[in-house]
Amino acid sequence: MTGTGPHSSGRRSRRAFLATVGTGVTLSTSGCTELFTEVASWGDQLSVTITTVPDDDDRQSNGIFKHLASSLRAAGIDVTPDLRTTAQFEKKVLIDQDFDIFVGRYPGTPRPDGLYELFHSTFAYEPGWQNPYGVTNIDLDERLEQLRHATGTDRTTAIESVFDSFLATKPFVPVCAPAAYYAVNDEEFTGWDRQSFRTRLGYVDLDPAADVDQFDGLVTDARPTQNLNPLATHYRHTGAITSLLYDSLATQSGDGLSPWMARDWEWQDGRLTATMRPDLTCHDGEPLTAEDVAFTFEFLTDLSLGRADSPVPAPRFRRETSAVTSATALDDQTVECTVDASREVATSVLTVPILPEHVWRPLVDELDEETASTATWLREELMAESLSHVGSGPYQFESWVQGDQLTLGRFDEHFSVEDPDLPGVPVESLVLRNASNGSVAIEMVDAGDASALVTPIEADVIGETQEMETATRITDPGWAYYQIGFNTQKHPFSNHRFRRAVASLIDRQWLAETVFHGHAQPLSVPKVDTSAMDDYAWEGADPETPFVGTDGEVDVEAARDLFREASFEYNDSDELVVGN
Amino acid sequence: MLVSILSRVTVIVALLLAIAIWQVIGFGTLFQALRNWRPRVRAALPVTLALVPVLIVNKLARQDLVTISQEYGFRVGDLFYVIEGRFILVFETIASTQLTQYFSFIYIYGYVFLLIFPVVMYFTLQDSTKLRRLLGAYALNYTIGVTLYVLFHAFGPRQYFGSDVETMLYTFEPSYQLLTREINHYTNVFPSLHTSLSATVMIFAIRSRSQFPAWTPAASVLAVSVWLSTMYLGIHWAIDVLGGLLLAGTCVWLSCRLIGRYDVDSHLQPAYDRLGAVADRVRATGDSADERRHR
Repeated sequence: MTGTGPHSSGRRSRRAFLATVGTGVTLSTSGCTELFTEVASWGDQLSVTITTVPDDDDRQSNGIFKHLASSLRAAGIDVTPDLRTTAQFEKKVLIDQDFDIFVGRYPGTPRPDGLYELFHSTFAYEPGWQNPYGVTNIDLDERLEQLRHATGTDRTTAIESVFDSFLATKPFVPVCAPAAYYAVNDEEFTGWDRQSFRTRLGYVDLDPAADVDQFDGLVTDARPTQNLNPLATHYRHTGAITSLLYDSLATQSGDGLSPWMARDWEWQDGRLTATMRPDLTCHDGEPLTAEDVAFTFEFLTDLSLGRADSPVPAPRFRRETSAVTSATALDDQTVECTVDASREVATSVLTVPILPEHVWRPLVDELDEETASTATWLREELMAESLSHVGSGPYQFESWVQGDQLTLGRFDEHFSVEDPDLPGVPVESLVLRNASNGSVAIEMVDAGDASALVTPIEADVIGETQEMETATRITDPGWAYYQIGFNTQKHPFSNHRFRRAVASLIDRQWLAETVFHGHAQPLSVPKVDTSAMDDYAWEGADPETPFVGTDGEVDVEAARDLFREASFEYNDSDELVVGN
Repeated sequence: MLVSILSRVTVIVALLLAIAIWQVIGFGTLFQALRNWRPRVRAALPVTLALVPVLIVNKLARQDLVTISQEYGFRVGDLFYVIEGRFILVFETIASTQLTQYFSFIYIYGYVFLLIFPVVMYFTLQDSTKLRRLLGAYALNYTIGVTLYVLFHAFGPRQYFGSDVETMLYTFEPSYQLLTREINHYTNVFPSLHTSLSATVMIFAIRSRSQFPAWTPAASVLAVSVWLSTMYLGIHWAIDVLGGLLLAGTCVWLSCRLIGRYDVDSHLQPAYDRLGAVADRVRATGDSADERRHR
């Protein structure tokens, strides 16, 4: 704990204390929010709300939260927590975009184009993992456009220029990338090392033992057992489970893309032409054709299908749809997309899940006018858990006990069953159970009560895998990373000097060593798969905003100097005050 | 894994019950009461039936109740954090492995035993009022508790302090989470039902100290241990515990006012008569079938 711990309220002025309590009260009675916010901004101590998840959901987020809270307090800033279950947290931050600072785990992507999605101003007011910080920076936008269109060394240069801008402006603080370990049972399946649980093939490209007819997966993140809607961004991490229900034209396989619904594809002059397999069928027996693919792109670009005045994009797959200018079915099996991006970005568009038109169009058509034309209501309707689960993927929905268990059954009409070149669905059913915590999950896999723990093992229990007797530990590159995100649309987080000062209060090296028990790599820039990362690799400190302090303990005077240099002021009781 | 935990709880609680029956009631008294079970069960039935719908609603609609609480409930956890701060972490200063073992045992096994034993104990009494009032107080605790869970959405202290609570129940014994998850959602912490139900038992134990003098100190030690355990293990805020004590007092008071005042049993007489008639008929058919077979 630092000098000004959380129980220092006695030292604070009474007014500031009341404002703090007031902030707490407002969390429950939103009607009074404005009143209390007014009170808090009369030149009083700056009070910041940190939105994050409870310790049960993510112990590492909790560890970062505690470090951030005590560092901010040391710098004379008051802190109020806003704890929410993972799905509610993502709803608040990504959909409602109602936060000051958040601490959370970003699912990540190896694709450098992910940076476009994270920072481009087009997405500043859109819900989802695209630009939740509300960054609007014309210079950064230009660099991102270059990144999206460039190839070869030009692309590397573009990425580097984005990184430079990022380091200087800090829309978020990348904390560290956790090692991704999983526990698997070799007696039930083999071939675990071929693919990753982050992708569809991780569940399909396996070899079962002779008498095994069920994949018994454990999760410590229960969201797939609560909502399986592919559009529900706050219930999806990598989306691997929903990708078992909904096919895509190509599928991620190792580092590249493999043919899936599409036999092959061609890229020429900004046009991507994919040829689909014949006779594709949905789980309800209806055929699935190139028309459905064209519909999917139309729908994801505008969920209202033309009923709203301006398009309402789906909050997921926004990176992909923002690159596609049009998608047309040339015949039943051929679809042509015009894509405004480089080849690499263009082909990644093929991983978008295909939503059958006969299921989704009626859902939109049946909505009343007001719902269909109001973006927030429309999204809420279309992200509901109760919508149909009919897709065309290798598995189909069978049943669930929400929050506890999900059962999927093999879809026998699926093309992968017949095709010898594809990994076919190996077992009849796939069950996912909520294991409560990593320790229980590891023990269950080791005892042979489950096939695998398919969500990454939390850093604090990775050590327990050493004691496993029958289970094996596997790993994958795991592109997820933890971040501290700022709402740059709000004062004082709109000020990059303030954000940089906060970044200097975070000891990433110490967090990786303690909270992550050494099972994490500290980051100074967003983690993506590019050679440019080498020049920005972590070397003990952030090049722009090194930590002020030692071993996670902030140097109080140095911290205050940082904020003073950033033109913030302190009152007589050493509280950082915000003037108007 | 859940099954193995459940069977372990069953075995240990059964053992504790046996010891307590032997020490507090005496097996002779219990068997005598069991031989004459009919009026006792009949007296306790109406109040027990009142508990059933609450249990069913909570079991079937827990997910929906949690959703309602999430959408419309008062979010008070963050407020508790601001008001109470790191108070419960004072227990970390006295923490030891033995103490963690003790409080974990109390939180799971001691608590279940504490709730079941007085039911057995008051069952042996001629006058069923105590039994009915205890069951009534349980039902009230549970009903009001579940309502408050919907009204107040809050996370417990361990969700804020994380690894600072080194004596966290699920760090010590992770598999217990499979059990507690079946009973409760982690956003249900205010008030502490562990506290309110154990306090209820304690109040009854004090009131019946002339009949069961050995039980009063035992129940008191156990109940206070349960209150402390909820904080020591990082599960509840002190505010939840205070809320639980208040709830217990209210429920005991309400139960004593309501039960023994209305003669619910007489209203059930026609139902019993009909049930009796059906039973007689079944028995008669059975007998005549037997006769036919013997003939």
